[in-house]
Amino acid sequence: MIEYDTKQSSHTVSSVAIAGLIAAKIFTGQHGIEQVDLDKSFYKRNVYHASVTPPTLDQYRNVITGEYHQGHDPLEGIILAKFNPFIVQLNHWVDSVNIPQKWVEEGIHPPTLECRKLAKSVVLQLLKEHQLYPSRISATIEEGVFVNYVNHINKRNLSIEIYNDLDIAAIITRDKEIIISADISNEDFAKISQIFKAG
Amino acid sequence: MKILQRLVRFLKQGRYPKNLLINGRPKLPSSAFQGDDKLFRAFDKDDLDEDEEVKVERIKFPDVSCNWSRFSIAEDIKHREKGRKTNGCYSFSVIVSRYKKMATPVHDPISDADYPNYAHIEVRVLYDGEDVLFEPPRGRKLKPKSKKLEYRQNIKNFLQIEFRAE
Repeated sequence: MIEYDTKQSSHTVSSVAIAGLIAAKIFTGQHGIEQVDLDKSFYKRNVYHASVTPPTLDQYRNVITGEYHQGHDPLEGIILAKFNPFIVQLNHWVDSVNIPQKWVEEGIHPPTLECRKLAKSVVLQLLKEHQLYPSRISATIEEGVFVNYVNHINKRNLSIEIYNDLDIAAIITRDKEIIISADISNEDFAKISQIFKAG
Repeated sequence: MKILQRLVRFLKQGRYPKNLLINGRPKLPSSAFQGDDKLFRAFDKDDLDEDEEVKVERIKFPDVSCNWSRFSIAEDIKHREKGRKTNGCYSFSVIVSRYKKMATPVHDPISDADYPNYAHIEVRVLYDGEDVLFEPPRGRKLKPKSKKLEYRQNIKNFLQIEFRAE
């Protein structure tokens, strides 16, 4: 149990703690966190409390930067975040994707700006609407951005490729079994997300 | 300069695997492949994820070059133009390469002066209705994209690491 009083702590400390709890909330479905209970009084910047697995919380503290301010949080609809560290982190992650030198020599192109823009849209949509946070973002040899998600509860793995021609393909696997592969149109991940979380 | 090139070639030939030399042998038909024959492919250390597994986004397809186990051993993959001593090698079977009849291996000996390779094959795309014993040409595309991703994922799922990259 972690209890936190936002009135009695500095913004710097609270930004890490709040972000950590949001992370815990997001990762509940993926990392087997038993329960995360955010008290609604938190919205009034009073006290909130949550039950999280401390190692998981610590793990995601590492990726948290920035400071929180009161405002509307698209993740939860009730929590504030004018400057959402997850969105900043994801955007930076996509921007930093590059291809190895051997691909350059083979004439393989890096992700284009348009492709990166679409990739950002995809990862943010999966975060906001489906509470999924990627475990890996990298370049694909097929020319584009590759994004991977792991569901630690049902052991399913979701891979998405966003190509330079702006096509999108996704595949869900479990161990050596391919559960489904699909071309994604109109950035509609509802079915894929449902299958990824099922079971 | 030419003398130097000849000298380098002579020195290389001394340690070049004899089994890779063409030696007048013919190109073989697709029917010569056995289902459990291995197809060897080189990889680098950065092609692996944190679990030491080959990343699917690093698996090339189609027209992917491999060495056929019938005429080579895994270590032979280092003897190619862009080969490195630090290369690792993974393999997948001919059966895996023919997943859902999306592709099939084609024997494609390379008669290069410096890097001849009788064991060289290419895994090429089959169109719907074509038999795995058909020899498709190079340069075909596999569509839609999800089908290609599925094919690459299947290779990742069933490949075996022959030796690690350094």
